[in-house]
Amino acid sequence: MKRIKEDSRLKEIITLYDTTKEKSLFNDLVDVEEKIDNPEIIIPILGLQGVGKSTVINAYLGEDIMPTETDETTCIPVEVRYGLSKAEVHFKDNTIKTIENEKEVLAQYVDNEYNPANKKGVSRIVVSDEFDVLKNGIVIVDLPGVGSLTKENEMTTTEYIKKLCAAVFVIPTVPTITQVQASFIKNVWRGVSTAFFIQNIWDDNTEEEIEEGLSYNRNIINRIAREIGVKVKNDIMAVNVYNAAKGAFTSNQELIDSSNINSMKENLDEFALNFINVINEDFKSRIKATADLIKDEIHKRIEQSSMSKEDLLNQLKNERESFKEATKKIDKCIDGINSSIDNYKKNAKEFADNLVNDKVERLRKDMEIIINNGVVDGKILSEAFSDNQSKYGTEMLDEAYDKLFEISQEIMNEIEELDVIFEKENINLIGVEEFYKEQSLKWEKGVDVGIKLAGAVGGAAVAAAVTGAMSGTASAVLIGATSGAWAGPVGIAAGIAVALACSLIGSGVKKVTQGSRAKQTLSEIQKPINDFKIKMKDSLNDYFKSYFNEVARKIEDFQESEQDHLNYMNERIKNIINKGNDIDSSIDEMSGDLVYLEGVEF
Amino acid sequence: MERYRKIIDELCNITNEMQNERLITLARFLRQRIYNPDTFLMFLGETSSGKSTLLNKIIGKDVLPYSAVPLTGSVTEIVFDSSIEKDEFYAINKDATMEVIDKEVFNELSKNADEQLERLRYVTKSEHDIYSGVRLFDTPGYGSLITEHDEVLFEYLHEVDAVAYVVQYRVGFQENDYEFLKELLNLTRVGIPFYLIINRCPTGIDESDRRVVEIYNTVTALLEKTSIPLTLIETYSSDDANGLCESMNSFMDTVMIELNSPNNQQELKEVFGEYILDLILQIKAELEKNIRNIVSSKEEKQKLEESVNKFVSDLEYTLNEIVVPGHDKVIKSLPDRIEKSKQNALDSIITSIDNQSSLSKEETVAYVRTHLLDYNIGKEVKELQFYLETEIDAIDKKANDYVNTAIVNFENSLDLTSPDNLYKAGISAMKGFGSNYLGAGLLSYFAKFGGAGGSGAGVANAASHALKKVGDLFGKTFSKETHNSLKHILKVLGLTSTKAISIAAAGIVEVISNIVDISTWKLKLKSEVKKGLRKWAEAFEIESVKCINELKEENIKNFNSIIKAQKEMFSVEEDDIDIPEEQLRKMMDSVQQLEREVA
Repeated sequence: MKRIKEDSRLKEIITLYDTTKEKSLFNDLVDVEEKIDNPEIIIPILGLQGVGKSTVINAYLGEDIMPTETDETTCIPVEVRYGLSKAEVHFKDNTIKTIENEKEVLAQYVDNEYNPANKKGVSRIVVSDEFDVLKNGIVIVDLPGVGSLTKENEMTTTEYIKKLCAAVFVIPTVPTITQVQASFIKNVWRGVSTAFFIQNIWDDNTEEEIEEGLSYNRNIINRIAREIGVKVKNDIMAVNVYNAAKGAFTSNQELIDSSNINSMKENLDEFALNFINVINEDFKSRIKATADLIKDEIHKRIEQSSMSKEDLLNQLKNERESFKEATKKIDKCIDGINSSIDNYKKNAKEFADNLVNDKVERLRKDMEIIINNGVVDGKILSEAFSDNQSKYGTEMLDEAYDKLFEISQEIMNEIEELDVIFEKENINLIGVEEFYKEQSLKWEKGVDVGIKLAGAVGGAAVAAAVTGAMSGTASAVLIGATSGAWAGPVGIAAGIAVALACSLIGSGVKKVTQGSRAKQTLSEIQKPINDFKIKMKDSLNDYFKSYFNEVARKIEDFQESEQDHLNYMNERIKNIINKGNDIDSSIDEMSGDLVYLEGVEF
Repeated sequence: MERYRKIIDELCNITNEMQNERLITLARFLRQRIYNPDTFLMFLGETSSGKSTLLNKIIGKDVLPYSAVPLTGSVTEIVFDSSIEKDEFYAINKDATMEVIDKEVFNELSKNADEQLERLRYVTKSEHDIYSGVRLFDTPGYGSLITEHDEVLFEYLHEVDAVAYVVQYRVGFQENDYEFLKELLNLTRVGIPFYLIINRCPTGIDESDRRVVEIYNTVTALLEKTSIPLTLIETYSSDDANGLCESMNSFMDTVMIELNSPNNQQELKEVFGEYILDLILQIKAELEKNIRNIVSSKEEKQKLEESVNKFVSDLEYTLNEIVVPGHDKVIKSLPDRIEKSKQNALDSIITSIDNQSSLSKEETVAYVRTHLLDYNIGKEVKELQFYLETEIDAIDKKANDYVNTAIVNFENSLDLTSPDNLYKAGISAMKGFGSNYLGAGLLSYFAKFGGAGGSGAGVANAASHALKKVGDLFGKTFSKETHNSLKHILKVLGLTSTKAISIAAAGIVEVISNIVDISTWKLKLKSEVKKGLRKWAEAFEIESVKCINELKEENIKNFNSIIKAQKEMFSVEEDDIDIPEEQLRKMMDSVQQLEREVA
């Protein structure tokens, strides 16, 4: 099969008949083609409270590469990918420095001891080597887990999570998954479409413990899956991670085999294979959709080239009218959607404010009771304050999460209604469908292909965008566009509580130490409580806002494209009025183009 | 409503004609409810907030005993009836029996409820016709909430249509109120109206009064509402009761307008519609059964019997192999889980104590008492609740899958048995039974409120029951119901814990105040913490094992009743009624006609 990139004739043809404003249909195809050449399947290993995720990575790679337990000491993502042996430090200012691929050297950037509070401004570390298990395009990332996100790297993590299509969670055997961990899993799982679970087994776990742990963890995972409406596709893998790593380092095959680390390899391999298949399928249907679009356009032009000026004008004007009419109706629907989004916005704001008011008042009450009972020591109060902050903070996040999830579902439903309205109002689709088809293809590019495809692999709603959008309806286009919005703020929320806890305990409460009387202490604690309140409100509102902004932006883009398309129609009509029939290619030329397109192998 | 009355009248006639006792009783019961729908208004508030006094003003005479010391040991239901000669007093017992009592016994019981008493009922000869159909409930102050009363109160909360929340102006909002209001929101139905009554306000103040605003804002925030109707009652002396009377009457006017609002009426109507459909379904199934028994061949009957037996055995399998062992496993695992939780909390508290200076005894003690115990146990309780929820949920899901498969198989085998589909209504009724078995639907509505001589063992109204009924899918409601029970259990466990924590905290203060020695107070404190945690763990274990056992029993009972119902519904035994086929078909036609009218 000829490579699209190298097919200059194809490029010429597609560009010639591309009626979109950017004339980017060809480049979009090339982008996808490049993705296939260099698949990048980013899979983070997410650990919960020192369950040994770095060891999991080492065991998976079969090499002792991860510096210490990074989740305890730092929050910098470390990427491991296939390639020539090297290590790079990527800084926040987009500069890159190549360093020696040695654990100790990496530690200089990763370990908190050498890089306190990330003073060195590292954004991520990329380690590459010829790891067999990564040949298939898998990129393993050691991502900070729950509890170690700080304000500084919140953005990095968020950006990261946007690119993810699957995640591996390392879960403990004893004790089983706790509620806090479950809530973390739930929130990340919503953002990625496929989740793998590795239950870390230790040598001292009894058979019974392992069985019970598995059975209970399975129940939790099923429950979470039901709550967020996804399917559990992979059973928990019980892996003796320590033995797997030890076996790999000492070349003890028996130990490796008995550790069951191979189940992880098999599962991820299968996923990668699937992923690449889906990309390929998508690529094929994308080429076909593009070619069909172009062929339709050529047929139209062939027909138009022999038309009289008058007939051509009439035809174009009819098309324009029907497009205008459909656009008007769509815009009216979008107005409706927008105004209900406004309502959701207000509703979300009210929700966030009430939520914070309620929880923070409880926290205040709790603190007052403590102080009124004679506790005025700053250290104790800080501890209590921090306890309560994390307690109420987590509660707030959980509730805010569920709320936004609910809202996003409702907005999706409303957008889906568009189809019904179209059908009911019997809207004439001449000249409109073409536009939607174009848009579908365009939106594919707008959002990172990886995410879309992950949806297809994972069977999540996102998949609608890839195949569904090509059906050429407005709702499919918009759903494809807006579904990505939800994936955005996953990381932010995980960071809020912890980030606030750190910043407040360090400042406000310490001053309370000086206050020796309850009354004074009471008045002094008001400030940190109020600060907490303000920050929580800001964070939650930002969290909601970022979703709504994203959705609004996508909808605006869509409407802009409508306008562009209308402009294009107007422009053409104007040209024809001034200069007559504007098709200057000969029928022979155009037929030749058609024949060439037919011959392109898919 | 007029239409529904007509329909239910006709259904009563049909059931009479069918000579089926069970259906006759059901139809009559529903008829009575449709002709006299009730709504419930519950008065809630801290002990001694003056609920009884306010209620007396609505009644128009001093019937309910009141005093400055905590009173009202039981829930009292007040019914207005213009048809009676003189006031009537009843004691309704937990075993659903009802006794006529005199005023003295009534007074005595309202102060000191005995073991058997479920609630008191006072029927007053009403001067106010407008109040007919409204029942008022006076409740024990929830200062005594964490006692044996709580269960009763919780049970009631689920049924009420409106809540009047009484707060004393001077007392304002107490710690208790926070917890209680949150509970309240969880336990009442979504969207019911709340009214705030601020009692004993100083004369001359209005809604802008600072304290009023403070109370009002807190209540609205906690109830997650933007506004609540507010009534201010001024302090009164016994010789100036007229003003009070007026305020309460105008309060009742507000309530009545809301309760009679088109929205509420509409809701009620929908609910009765559901119940009528439910009844129709059962009548149809019964008619169908009779027809079937006349027209089916012996082979067909035999095949049907086989299918039913298979279905019943599938259900029995689910019960015996999934539901029962599932609960048993959870019960077995609880002691270990709780022990581990206890250890976690203990470790964490002890670390904190060790970190304190030996000199700060008082502060450390206060810290343990006011924060560490509560926080650490609270955290563990949450985990335990989460554990229970996950495990019960998993059992539920699994049982559901089995039952649903069994239903599908049953349906398929019926299709094979009878291509002309003589089982349509039967199957629908079976699914309807699904929701019954789950505690919704007409049958259970009846069982709860129509049985035992019509006295009703619990408080009820139609609306609350239909709300529990989500769809007619067999499985769906099962989850919902289990989920409701589970939610209730988790609440009870939470309260058990709160109580145990406060006892533990009290113990700590007592002992510590007697120890002065700098070197030993930490040891002593730790041992007290240990003791307190042990008590908590014991209480929690007893209560949680008890709760899960109850849930298990409830599920067993439900399964058995559905099994029994299935057998009955598809029984091939010929009833000894001699209605000819033609007449049965005619009745079927009229029922179907009525069904179309309702739908």
